[in-house]
Amino acid sequence: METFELKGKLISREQVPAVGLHVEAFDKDPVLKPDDDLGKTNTDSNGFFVMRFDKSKFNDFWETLDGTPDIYLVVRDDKERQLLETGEAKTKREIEYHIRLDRNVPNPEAADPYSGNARRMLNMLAEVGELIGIENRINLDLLNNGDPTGEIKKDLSNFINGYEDRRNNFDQFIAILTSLTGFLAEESRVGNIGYDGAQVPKLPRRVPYDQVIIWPRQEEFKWA
Amino acid sequence: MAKAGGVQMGIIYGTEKLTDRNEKYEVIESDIVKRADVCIIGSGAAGAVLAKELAETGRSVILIEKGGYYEGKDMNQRELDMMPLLWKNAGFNFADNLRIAIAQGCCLGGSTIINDAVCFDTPQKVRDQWKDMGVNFTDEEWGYHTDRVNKILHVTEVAEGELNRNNLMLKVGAEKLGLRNHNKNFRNCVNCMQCGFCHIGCHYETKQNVLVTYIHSALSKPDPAMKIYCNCNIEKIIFRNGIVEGVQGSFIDIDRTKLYRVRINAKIFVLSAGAIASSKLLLQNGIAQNTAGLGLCLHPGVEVIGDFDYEIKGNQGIPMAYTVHDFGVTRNTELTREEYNVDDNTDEFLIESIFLPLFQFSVALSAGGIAEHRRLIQRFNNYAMAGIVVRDDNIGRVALTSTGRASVSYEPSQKELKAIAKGVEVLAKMWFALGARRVINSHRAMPIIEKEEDIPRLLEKILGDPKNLLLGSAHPQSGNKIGNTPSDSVVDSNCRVHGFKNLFVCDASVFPTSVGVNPQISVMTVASMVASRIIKDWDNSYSNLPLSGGQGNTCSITQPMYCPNIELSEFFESSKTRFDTSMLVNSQTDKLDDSNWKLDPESLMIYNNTHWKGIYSRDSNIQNTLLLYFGGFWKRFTKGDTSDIAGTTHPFESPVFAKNRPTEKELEGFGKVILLEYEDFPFNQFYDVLKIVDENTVLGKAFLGTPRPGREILTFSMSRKYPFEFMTEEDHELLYSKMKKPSLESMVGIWTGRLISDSMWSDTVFWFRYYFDYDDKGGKILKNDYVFGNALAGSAVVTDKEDHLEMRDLTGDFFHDEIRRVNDDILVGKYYSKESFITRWLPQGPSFLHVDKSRGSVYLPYVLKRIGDESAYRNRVG
Repeated sequence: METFELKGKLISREQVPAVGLHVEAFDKDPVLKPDDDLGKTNTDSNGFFVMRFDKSKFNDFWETLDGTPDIYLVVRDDKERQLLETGEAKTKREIEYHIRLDRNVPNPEAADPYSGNARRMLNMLAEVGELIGIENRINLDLLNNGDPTGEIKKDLSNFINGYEDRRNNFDQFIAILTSLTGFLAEESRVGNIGYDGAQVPKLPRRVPYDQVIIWPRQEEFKWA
Repeated sequence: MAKAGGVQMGIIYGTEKLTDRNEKYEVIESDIVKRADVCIIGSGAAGAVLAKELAETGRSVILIEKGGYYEGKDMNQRELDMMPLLWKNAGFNFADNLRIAIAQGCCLGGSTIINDAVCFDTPQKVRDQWKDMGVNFTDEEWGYHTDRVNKILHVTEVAEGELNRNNLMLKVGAEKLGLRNHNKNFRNCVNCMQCGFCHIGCHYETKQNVLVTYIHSALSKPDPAMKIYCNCNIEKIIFRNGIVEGVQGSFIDIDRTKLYRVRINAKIFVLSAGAIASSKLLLQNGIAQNTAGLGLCLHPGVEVIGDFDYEIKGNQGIPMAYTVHDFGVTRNTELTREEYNVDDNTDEFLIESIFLPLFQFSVALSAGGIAEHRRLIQRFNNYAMAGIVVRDDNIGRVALTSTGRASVSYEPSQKELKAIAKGVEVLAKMWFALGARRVINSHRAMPIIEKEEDIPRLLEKILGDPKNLLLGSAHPQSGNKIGNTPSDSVVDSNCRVHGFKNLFVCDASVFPTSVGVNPQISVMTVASMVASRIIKDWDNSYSNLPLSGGQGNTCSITQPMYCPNIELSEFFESSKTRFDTSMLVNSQTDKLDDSNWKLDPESLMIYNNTHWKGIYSRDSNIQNTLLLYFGGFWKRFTKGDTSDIAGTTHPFESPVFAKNRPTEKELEGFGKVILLEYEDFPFNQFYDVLKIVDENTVLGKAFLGTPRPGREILTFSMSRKYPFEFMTEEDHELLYSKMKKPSLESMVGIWTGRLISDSMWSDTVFWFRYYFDYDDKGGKILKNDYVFGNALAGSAVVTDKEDHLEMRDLTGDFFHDEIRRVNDDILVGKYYSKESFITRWLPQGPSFLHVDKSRGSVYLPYVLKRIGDESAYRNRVG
């Protein structure tokens, strides 16, 4: 029988292990039906918890389609007061949680430090671009003195060697940027590769959120 | 909040509007001039440690940071949001060849905000090597301060359960290959949330960077003696006779526009800006130009990626938690090196597990083309990644480009390449041993190998074709070495710059060699030792140093020529006219002579009483910006036979001499002022309101429209005593006539040139390099290489004339330069055209052009300023 594992660590607002809290896992089902109870455990002296369960705990019509439960955790203190409920996550194998019990006090007016980033970045990139052309000046003496053909040739070849090297590297760099820009633009593709991405809201100061990291894994780790 | 010298302490200042901060934060809205015991430039691993240790033992400390102030809640785990906020150049920070990416933090807390929290104490072997090179830190000091730093950063060993799958891959791989000396890392992270986003700031503040430890500790004391200026870029170090008086720079916004000016005066100054920026600051300011930036190390490295059939998800969890020491300076056995035929004892490298968030991972995969890149990134979840960090020799260099920018030159030698190749060999073997279907590396000519038999070919490419090897560095260090002699080191064992009483450099740049392990603990330990030495020596060596009152080029009522419009206007509103109209009267003659013109050689202030020089605000609008070099004006007042005072206003470069008359008046809305009314049409449509704030300074506002009140059009200041850099063409002419020629020998070095117009100087528009060369007959000649406007370059020969030096380039008789000396570091010059009858008909030269009627030619008046020795520069100028 396939076993599922939920494990993780809880820390307090002060960043010390949260000991002796009750952690209960559920499988979210449609409104008409109560959610399946997947198990319950307590955090140990290091704030750790782990629980395992198999398909029998949740296997009803709703999960037969993909065989994956929609798991969420509820954390309660020793007086059974609910401290937190996590978002849902799907897994075929394992989920690791890291939770800090520190709900923020949102400020809808909080400053947005990221909004000027395009400008910030462009101004910084300008300096990178300048490196490429920095030594390329017209040398008046070459046009006039000595052996102009020879000197121009020599200078030109130095210039081209260095320039080509820098140019290649810069092309490379633009390739990365292009590739990445396209990549980021296609949200679905990010979804396809299963990158979990950020675990906090885009503007963390403005909205309420729980500090919960959810790392679902779909396969057993089999390097051994 | 505590006050030191009337200054609020315990506050972080910056130019960005930020809300809900952990620390007290205020937005800067004007120029500042501040004093403190200690001024530290750079708030990273070294600067923050020094600042806390010195502030907590009673010194008042000003800590300056070029980047912004961001804390946990700002770190939103999105690379494109965070890299521009936290990384130097948003991460696009390269050596000159653009082939080596250098990761450095540029924010409050510096690189400790973006590092992987890896902690290694300075290896004993390295400490011993440094001792042999003249570094005088005792074992007791090393021991005590290493412990202290580790304690403050809460350094602990990674727990077994914290090794994610990527770290386990390295651990199991190392076991499989029979490597002997590999361990979990120590990290400065308490109860890590394992989000994997260390590189873009720790949202949960579990990473014990210097902001949440050292800086927070110093700011949260009941009587904090520290204050911090963020978004503040220091450019100038002002010093005389081995004593630094102050530093100057600007507060910048997100466009890097200079908003406000800053001048800090202190008893001691510490540069902790990192190996590249500290070297640049020294070189730009003409300090240690023969040694600074030489021998830069980068710990160059490459990442080697294995592509596996099973899911690893290396981005989930601690990126760097495991290290293989078998080949490193920290090894405890030679057996592995023998097995792997590492014959050279100095080839040392670590193999460290590492994983990156998506954007940075994408960059690490950059060896293929665009299509290939897309295919590769699809396998993101199946990659195992580890990196090689090479303990390199002192082979790099920070220098200045001929136009004064920082240049980092670094080409790995065979030694470094051999170490990289060996590391790639071990890792590629490891990934294949674990069942990788292919191995990806960063050599552009062979980015992917499919089988173990291809490894030797890849190694050949690495050794034989290094130009296609993309390298990364996260540990720029050395360059401003500690040592005993100024000829081969920059600082002594107290990190004090040779030849200076109160200038220190303290960051990774003072390491005599590369340290061979992730350097943050070493940097902090050195800073902690240096801080304790400064504290110990304070009473005897530093407390009696003079505290300068210099204001630099910041705006104040005593130097309104440096003010932006809003402050000029405020000064005008808040000040009273202190004298009557007779104080306005200028010298009888309008010809410059010894009675009405003086130059103070010390302060370089010009006193010119033929007129009041009018100066617009420094942030004039576009209309005025156009006028900057073409505009400006003077006003001249004379007293005739009667008691009446008559005035004239003359806009430079124009034939206008508008007559006016000053009278003292009580004016509604202004109080007692001097009203200046014009006599003739059309100028009588205007009037000025003046306030004489001191003997040589007048503030004024110009109005359009009579009868009063008209519409305000301009705020200005007028001075008859002004800094050198506001000299007029007439001042230049007189100054030139009074000066003598310099000796040929004194010219050698690098100089910047600025053109003079009546209203103000230009920015630096040309760079000169003077040096001795030999002519065809073997005779010694002084030559001048020049770059004009970063576009034209050429060479001229200098000849010693009777009363000046003359420079002629290939333009021969058409143009030449004539130069005289003001002091050792300042020259005045003229760029003359050939004599022409046309010029005799020109009334005056527009803007920078000046007509010399006696010769019948025109010239560009300019001032040259010495900015240092040739040794600071990457290439010859030109």
